[in-house]
Amino acid sequence: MRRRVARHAPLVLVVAGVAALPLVVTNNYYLDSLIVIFFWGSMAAAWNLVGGYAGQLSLGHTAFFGIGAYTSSILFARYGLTPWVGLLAGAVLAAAFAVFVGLVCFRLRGPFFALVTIAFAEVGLITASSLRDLTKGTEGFNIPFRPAFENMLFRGKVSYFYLFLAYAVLLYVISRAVERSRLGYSLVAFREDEEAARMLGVATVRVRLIALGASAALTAVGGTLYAQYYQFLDPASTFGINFSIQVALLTMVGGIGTAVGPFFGALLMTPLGQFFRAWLGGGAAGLYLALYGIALILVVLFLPHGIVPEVRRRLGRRPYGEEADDAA
Amino acid sequence: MLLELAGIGKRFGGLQVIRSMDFGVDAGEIVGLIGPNGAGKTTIFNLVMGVYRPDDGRIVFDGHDITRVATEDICRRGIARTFQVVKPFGNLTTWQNVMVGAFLRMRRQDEARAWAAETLKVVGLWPRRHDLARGLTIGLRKRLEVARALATRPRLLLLDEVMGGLNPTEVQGMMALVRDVRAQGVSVLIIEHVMAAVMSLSDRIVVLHHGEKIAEGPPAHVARHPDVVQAYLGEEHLLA
Amino acid sequence: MADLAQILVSGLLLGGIYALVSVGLTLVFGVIRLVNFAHGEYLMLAMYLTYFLFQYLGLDPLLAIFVVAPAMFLFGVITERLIIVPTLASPHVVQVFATLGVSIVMQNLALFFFSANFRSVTTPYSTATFAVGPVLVSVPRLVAFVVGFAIALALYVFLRTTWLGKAIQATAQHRNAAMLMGVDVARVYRVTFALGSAGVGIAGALLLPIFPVYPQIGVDMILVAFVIVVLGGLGSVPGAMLGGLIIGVVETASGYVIETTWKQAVYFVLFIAILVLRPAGLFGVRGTEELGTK
Repeated sequence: MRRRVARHAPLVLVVAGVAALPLVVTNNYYLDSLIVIFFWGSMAAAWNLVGGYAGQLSLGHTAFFGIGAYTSSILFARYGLTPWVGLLAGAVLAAAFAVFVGLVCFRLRGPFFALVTIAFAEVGLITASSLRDLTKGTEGFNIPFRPAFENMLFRGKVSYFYLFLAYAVLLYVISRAVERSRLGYSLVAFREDEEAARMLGVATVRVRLIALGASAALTAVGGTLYAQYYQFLDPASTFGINFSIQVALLTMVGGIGTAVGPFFGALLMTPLGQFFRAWLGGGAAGLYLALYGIALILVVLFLPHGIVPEVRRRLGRRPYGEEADDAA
Repeated sequence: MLLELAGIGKRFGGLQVIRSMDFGVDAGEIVGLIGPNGAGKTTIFNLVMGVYRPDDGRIVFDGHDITRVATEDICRRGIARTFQVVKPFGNLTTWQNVMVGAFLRMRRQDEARAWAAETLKVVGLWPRRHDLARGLTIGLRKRLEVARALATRPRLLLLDEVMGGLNPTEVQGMMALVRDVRAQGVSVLIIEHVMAAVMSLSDRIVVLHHGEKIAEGPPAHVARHPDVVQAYLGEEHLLA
Repeated sequence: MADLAQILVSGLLLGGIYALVSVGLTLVFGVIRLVNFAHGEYLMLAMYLTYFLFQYLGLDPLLAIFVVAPAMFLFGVITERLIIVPTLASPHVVQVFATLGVSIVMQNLALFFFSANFRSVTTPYSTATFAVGPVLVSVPRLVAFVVGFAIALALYVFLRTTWLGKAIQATAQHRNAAMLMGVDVARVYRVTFALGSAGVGIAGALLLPIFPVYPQIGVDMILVAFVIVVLGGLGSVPGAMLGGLIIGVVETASGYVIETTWKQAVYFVLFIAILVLRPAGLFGVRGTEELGTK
């Protein structure tokens, strides 16, 4: 009992500390920044389940995001269905689509799988833009602002702060649970050496489908939260390739295949991105993104596993999995 | 017969790599599989493990036909293998590596962890449990391969040149390990080029050459067999 | 009937150019086993270079080839050394993101330096056509087709007859065996990548009289290039040439019936379908997409 308390104490303390922030931080800009960090951390963590632990490079996760965002929003705006239930619909749809993609494409390796996922996401983008009756196409879809808990719409930022924080914590907890579980070990074994994994009885297709489905569902729920926060959707922001690249990049910077990596990546890159955008954005269109591209190249060349595993290695600890897991 | 290969044939394109292969492994036996390079020994392992499908013949394990069974199910049924060129999960620790094997039989992490710990102790890797697999020497990696396979609780263990690259001390250690494995009730089919080791360990030896069985029997008998000596002439192997 | 002939001719002409764009991509994949996500941006760079040579030196795009091809060859050598080589031993995610990063940097630097404006050149023969029976043939497209096809053919001959060409093929077929035969694989990689870069550079010079250049053109073209490469078979130069012709005709024909956005969707679906159903394409080596790039 005492060991379990000791193991969970750091997380509880951090979460409690962060949860107390709105008591001292009242500036909406900072609250928004934190919400953005929680959001990207969660989305990166969801991607990490399949991209990090399984090493299956998906660059099409935006499709799941868009499916989640539009599904719950259409159900809410048209049929009055509460987004708390609508997000389940989005999650199920996204998971089903993910399983389809996986079944059809898991034979493909590395860059080919990445290319196919990009293709699938682009089909999603075109579909969302074209089904104008349903999605209002490129005009954009507005979520009517009727603030109430059951509508997942709130005045001010504080409620959203806790909503996104809770989701981030959930994603972290899920990541840790997967990491220590049979599923997690199976995924990592597949990533490290597929042939050896199969010889040890790992059902490599089945576990990846589970991971991809879960990843898709969790990303879709993120889409719903996004829709409820910004109350506006359009195909470019919800089905665009930038989302796919972002979640992968954040995870890679922070630490691929670790539970805390995606959140660390989001924590590091979000303020950095805001800084660069403010400094260069305005007049120098393109320069900010060019720097972003250079950052991507540098990270990938010099820190392919990300910051967290590298730091752990330097400290003499194992890069993946945590000491707290050991019984002895 | 625990494992039985009956009339097995395998072609790759126009090349017949295995021809009419019949042999078996009995429960409790250590059977050595030897032969010059290219004789088809690893191919046999791959056929048993379902990596390749035989063109002819059947493979029967514990009374069940496993000829068409998928690779991941083969291990579940009780056959585990090691690789000639070791394949550790490099970014995981020794303990984590063995846990992958343990998770085949156990769903719960604490059980898998405990069983992996047991296996590590039996194999002598417990002091290195927190070391990253990619940092281990070749001798320890070979041990890790065996430990990982053992964690799956196999009835039959296929060892592919598990002594390759080991110094004489390590070879002795590995031989002792193989004997321990058999003592625990696991049958062993071992491919080996280190003749002294395989002659000493095996109850029975099967000799392959150009995909065919050219001799079978106790080590002493096989060592003197004219066809076997012929097959090895010109090779750089020393017979025991 | 005349319409059909027109579609066929226009399509083939277009296809020839597409083939040249794709040949470099498939060659690089076949030899280095690398999917170059920045391939389209190399095309864009070549087109901008051709444009500025025309604007400031009055150099006709056809003549500009003699400048652009070597320049792109050099650019290929530099990027190969700087960015590709460090990623060769790394996991796939590193290769994908490295070339993706190059793509992002190049697109946005172009946006920054050249703005998003469409830029095109008008040469004396830009709108020239001549008639063959009922069919109208556009002169710049015909020229582009002839030159493009000739270059692709020359490349094919080079691969088949010269020692270096055979070394390249050997590396593509079995890298380790080639190394054992004394092939300097690192040099082969560099030359192949540079050739691919020069090839797409020539395609850019040929394309400028026909299409305008803007920062995103690489992104728009790369999709077609990937479909062609996959259709023809990854690593097959004849496959890319044939695939280019087929897609050129398909593109022109469907331009008559489908609106642009859905046409894009058709390409994506086609791409997925080929990779899933017949991954080797027309002439490719079976199994590469399953074995991946190692």
